[in-house]
Amino acid sequence: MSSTSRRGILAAAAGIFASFTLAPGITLRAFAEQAPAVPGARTVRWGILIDTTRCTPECDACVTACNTEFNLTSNGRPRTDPQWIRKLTITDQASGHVTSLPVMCQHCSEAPCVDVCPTGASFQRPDGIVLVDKHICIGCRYCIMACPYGARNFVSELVDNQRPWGPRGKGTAEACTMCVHRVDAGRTPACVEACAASGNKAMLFGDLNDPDSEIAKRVATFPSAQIRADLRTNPAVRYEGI
Amino acid sequence: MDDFDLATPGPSAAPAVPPLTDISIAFALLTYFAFAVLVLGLVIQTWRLLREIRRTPADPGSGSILGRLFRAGADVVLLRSVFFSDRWAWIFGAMFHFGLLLVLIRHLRYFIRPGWVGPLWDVIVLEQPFGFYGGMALPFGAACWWLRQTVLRKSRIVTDWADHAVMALLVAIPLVGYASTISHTDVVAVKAFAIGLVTFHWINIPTDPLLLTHLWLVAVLMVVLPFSRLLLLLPFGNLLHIESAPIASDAKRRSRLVYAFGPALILVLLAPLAIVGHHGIVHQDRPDFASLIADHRTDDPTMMIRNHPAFLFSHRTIVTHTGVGAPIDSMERCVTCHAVKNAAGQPVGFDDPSHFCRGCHNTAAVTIDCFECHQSKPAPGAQAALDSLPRSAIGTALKAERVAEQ
Repeated sequence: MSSTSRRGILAAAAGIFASFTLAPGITLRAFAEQAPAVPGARTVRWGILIDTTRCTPECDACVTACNTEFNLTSNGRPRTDPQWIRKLTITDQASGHVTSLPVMCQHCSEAPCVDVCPTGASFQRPDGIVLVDKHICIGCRYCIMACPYGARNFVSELVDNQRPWGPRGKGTAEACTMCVHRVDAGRTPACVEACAASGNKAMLFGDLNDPDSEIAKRVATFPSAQIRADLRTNPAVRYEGI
Repeated sequence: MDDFDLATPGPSAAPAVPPLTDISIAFALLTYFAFAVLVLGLVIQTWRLLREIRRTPADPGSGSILGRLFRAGADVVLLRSVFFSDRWAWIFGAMFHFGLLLVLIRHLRYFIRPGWVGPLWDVIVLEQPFGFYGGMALPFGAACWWLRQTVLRKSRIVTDWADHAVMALLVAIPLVGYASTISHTDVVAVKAFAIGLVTFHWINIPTDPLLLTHLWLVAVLMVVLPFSRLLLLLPFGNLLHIESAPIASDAKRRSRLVYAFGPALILVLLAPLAIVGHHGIVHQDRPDFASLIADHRTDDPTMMIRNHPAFLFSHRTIVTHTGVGAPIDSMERCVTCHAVKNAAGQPVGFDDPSHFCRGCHNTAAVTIDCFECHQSKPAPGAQAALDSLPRSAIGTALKAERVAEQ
């Protein structure tokens, strides 16, 4: 492997002292060179399109699926219970028309939570998914205040029985990950899967930047809106029918 | 919680304790010798102090014996008289002494098994980070005080070769100690060696050059200290407000001692270096990460013990930020292969003392925060797939070795 020889030359040049002091960094760099750039390719932008005309107020399949996927359990204190996705019901006062829609992290391309994070824990992957690196999150909650969508949660209580793919811990901020573990494995997010299984088929997941993808075609053909588009956060979650 | 499980459960091999190496024997003997010299020096000096106290009457008007003891205690613990006489000396002295105290408490983890002290072990675990930072104050305070003594000549405490040697060692030992932290010494093996010394069941010492240097310097310090004025207990007589007899003859006595035993001392102290130089030290380089993913059962079984934090820390950033290799290379994989099963055949979580990570980390008094967020048990079904894998022969042998040490 070429990186092995490169590392060998580096280590030989740096000498024993350097191998003691710099080795973690060298390991990290060599590792980064080996990393294939599949999910991180800049051309990808994962997004979700939600057709609110197909979303019914009584259905909460997406919320249940999310809670099951990440084992988000209630502590009996609704104000601080974890909630990565929630159902909103909007009633038009003039006409009486009721619209129901799920709201989760909107995965903005100009994410306010990333801007305000003092440690760089709140970050955006090259494919547009906004995540919290909980290893460096200090729990300051700036991102929770900054998010216009109320999507970020603070983990207020000790967490037990986390899913292996969903590390969660007290004292950190967290939000919808767009099921990044499933997306990286070539699957769709749990909420989208559950919505399709419920028969409503209101949610569509795909690559917004791929002109041949179904979601890109739908967005190009039919009108869709971003919530609080006036803030110019450019969310990757779009809604039809609002 | 005393024992820990290093290998996955498998066919148990006969405990194979490797034969002692020359380096291990040399360092074990050196440590005993140095400790004996230090204790003997302290005993002799204590005896001389008591003799002085008994021989000379107390100063008139110095109060009751309780009051004098209290003032002397305040002087020894808080360096009270130094505080009122030389503020900078007190600052550096306090940094050094309290740093040393924290460092010594931190190093108790090597000489004590968790089971020996019960709940006190949790105090030692809790103290670890304080000891880590206290260790930075130690060489700084010592170096500054030493500089002030020699450059500004504030007092004539540091004068002869033994005094300067002690100061140089006090500065060098922590620095080498920190360097061995950076080079990722196998602290579990170090603890096994130290426990072997305490219980007189010797275990091989890990041949990390920085660790050997650290231990050798400590041994030299313990031998040199009784010959230095810095460990002279006689001045403590003054703290008790006792007119101590002149100690002018002390310097002469010390120099006679040094001339008599100096050559022998140097030979003994240099013996481990000669053995190390003869046999050489194998510097174990960091392995390639890609091969580690494929199979970390390398020829060096301590490799993962020494390097797993570096691997995990570099890996976690890559995985979190790019998602590369998420399922197979994640911590999920670690806890799946290394799962320890309870009596019911179910894998135990981190709340169980026999958890693979917890046992070892508790024994080494190293805090571990991974499972505040991460799942410590394999996912349902994941264990079954791994049960069919062949067991590591090295892992089984290593486990037997560790159990034999306990």
